[in-house]
Amino acid sequence: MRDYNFFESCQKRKGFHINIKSPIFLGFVVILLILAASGAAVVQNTVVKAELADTREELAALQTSPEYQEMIELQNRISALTEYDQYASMALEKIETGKRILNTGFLRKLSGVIPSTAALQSANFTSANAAFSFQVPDRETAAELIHDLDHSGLFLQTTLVSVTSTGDGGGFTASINCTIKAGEPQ
Amino acid sequence: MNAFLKMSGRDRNLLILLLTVVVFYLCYTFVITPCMTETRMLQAELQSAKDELARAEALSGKEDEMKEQEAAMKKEIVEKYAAFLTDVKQSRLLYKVDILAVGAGLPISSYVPANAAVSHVTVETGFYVPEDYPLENLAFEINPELPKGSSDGEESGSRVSAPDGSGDMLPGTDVSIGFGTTPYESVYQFIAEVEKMNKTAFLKSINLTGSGGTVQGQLVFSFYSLPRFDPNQKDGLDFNPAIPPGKPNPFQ
Repeated sequence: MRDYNFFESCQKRKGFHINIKSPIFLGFVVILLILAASGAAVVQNTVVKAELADTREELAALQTSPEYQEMIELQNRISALTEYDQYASMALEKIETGKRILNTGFLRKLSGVIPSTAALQSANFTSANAAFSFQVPDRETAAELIHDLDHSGLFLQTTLVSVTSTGDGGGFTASINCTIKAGEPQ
Repeated sequence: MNAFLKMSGRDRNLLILLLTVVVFYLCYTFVITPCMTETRMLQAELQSAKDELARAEALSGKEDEMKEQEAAMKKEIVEKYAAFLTDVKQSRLLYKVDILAVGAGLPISSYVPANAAVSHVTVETGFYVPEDYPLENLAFEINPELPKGSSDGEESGSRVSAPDGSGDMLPGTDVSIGFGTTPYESVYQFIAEVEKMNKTAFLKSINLTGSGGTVQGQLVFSFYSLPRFDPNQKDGLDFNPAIPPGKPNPFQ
């Protein structure tokens, strides 16, 4: 393979000989490249810094304007309204749940399932449970009462606590505990 | 320079190689790496600042749109939560309850309000935990058409409430309303009147005893209010004291 010396005319003119294969030349080139890379990194850094400073300045100018401040306040109010809506909605949903449990509809349905010969003596309701004391003429009516309450759709569970004679020949007292169905967690 | 020229070619080469390595190390460690790290950081900051600027510029042109959005949201919220009381002041509640009780013919014998407090809405709920009843399971395996869940179970209770730290806390109060012997219809009617208000009030518990169609007992209602942001918002529980105040002898 033949070697070409492209710098021959220069070298001849200046009397200066450069051997591009010499380690000195190659080392010099490598060092130059490293320095150039370093310089490029510094320049790039400076350019980005300047651009960032300009952008921040522009942003600061915009942010300090009264129009922008008003817009931010407006945006904050909208965010507050959104949050207000969210929490109020959660609370309203729970209140509506509470309204659906013990209400006139519940009392009306309860009245509708009690056998005509049975009469309530006492009733304690919470939104979770109900405890009844009925006066019934006989145990058969108590059985029907339990059956009717059980199938009323109002209660998850109906438990007969006791059926006791009133002792005066006036019939029996049936105590019943129920778990209200509307209180069933969804 | 003379010393360099006097060196053997091999030594010169080694020296140049060493010099190159040293320059590379110094530039890489003290110039290139710190610069590149800082530049990456600055570029991220620049991107963030540009995004913020773009958002700010976009926001600047939307003033009318945002004002309309705010007005629409306010209107929607006021309508959506019209059921809420605007406050749970005892005077207003007592006044309203009294009107409803008189209308329903309920002879209220005691009115005991609890202290108003800011809290989550709590609704006591019951639940049913079926027992694992082997014989029923076996019967069901034998005849799949048998109704499931016919065995007795345990009864328990819990409260539905929001987890701590959530923001759905409202000012609320419980009011216990006791009444003497009265027809059951009056109690029913009173509950119906409260329901008709269609406000954030619900029946928490009922305690009735009676015979022959009349009852006595106690109702407990929970009332909740939503802090209003519109001062003109009304909840329908208007209370305007009408009795003229002031007298010379307070015991007369």
